[in-house]
Amino acid sequence: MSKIKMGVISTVIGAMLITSGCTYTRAISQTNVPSERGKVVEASVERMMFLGIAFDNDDVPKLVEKLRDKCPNGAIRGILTKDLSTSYLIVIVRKTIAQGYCIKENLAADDADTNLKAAELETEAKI
Amino acid sequence: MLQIIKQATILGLVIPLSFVLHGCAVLHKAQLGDIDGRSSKNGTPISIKVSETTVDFGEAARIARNLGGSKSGANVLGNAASTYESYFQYGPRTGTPVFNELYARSVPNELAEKCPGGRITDMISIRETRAYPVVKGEIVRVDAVCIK
Repeated sequence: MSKIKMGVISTVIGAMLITSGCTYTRAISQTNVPSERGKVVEASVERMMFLGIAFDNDDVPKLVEKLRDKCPNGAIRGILTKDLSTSYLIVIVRKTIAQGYCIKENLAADDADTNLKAAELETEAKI
Repeated sequence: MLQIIKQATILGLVIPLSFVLHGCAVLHKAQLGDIDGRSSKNGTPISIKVSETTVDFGEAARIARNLGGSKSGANVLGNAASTYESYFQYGPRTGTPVFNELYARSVPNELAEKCPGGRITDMISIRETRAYPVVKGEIVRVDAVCIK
């Protein structure tokens, strides 16, 4: 094999090792899933941290706003939140992804009413 | 020349100090609640934060050991801190163990106080650590929208 070929292969392997990272899931949470499953909406925030150092986590609350913008005239239910981290060479990328069902506002209200009625019935049954 | 030395000294002190005093923020978990369609129109944003300060004995041990020689007082102190950590701060955990976990119990009450008689929606709960050398602040933060 020529020296040039060896050089190219070494460069490709080196680049692959540097640009690929090990990823892991730190946490997952899921809220109640509605019966009416409309459009799926997804939003995420991510931060690249040199040596894993960050001085605040103020980008994370913006996730709510980003998700809300994806469903302007409705409510979002059945939200799955994933906290992920990917470790590259001297850099860690932290990502939080939220995904849920965008449903019409009246359906969301119906859902809330159903929950309320169920709670009332349960209380009456206890009495 | 004197001016340059003065500036270098100030920078040499200010830069490390700003890192030490500012502390790093470590995110452990973020969790979203359901989002209400009405919240963006007639809701008021609310936010609460509860925290507990604690000591990372493992880190204290490592620092103490590096400060002194093998038979110095700092080394003995480091070994003691390490022993304490191995007995009391082991096992699965998020952040540094605290001495009192009750700090997070007030979250529902504090939220209710911020939104009397209203409905709280669009919640995002964040579990994070503010990390200074040896001292850590274990934090629970909840941002939400109050609809009345």
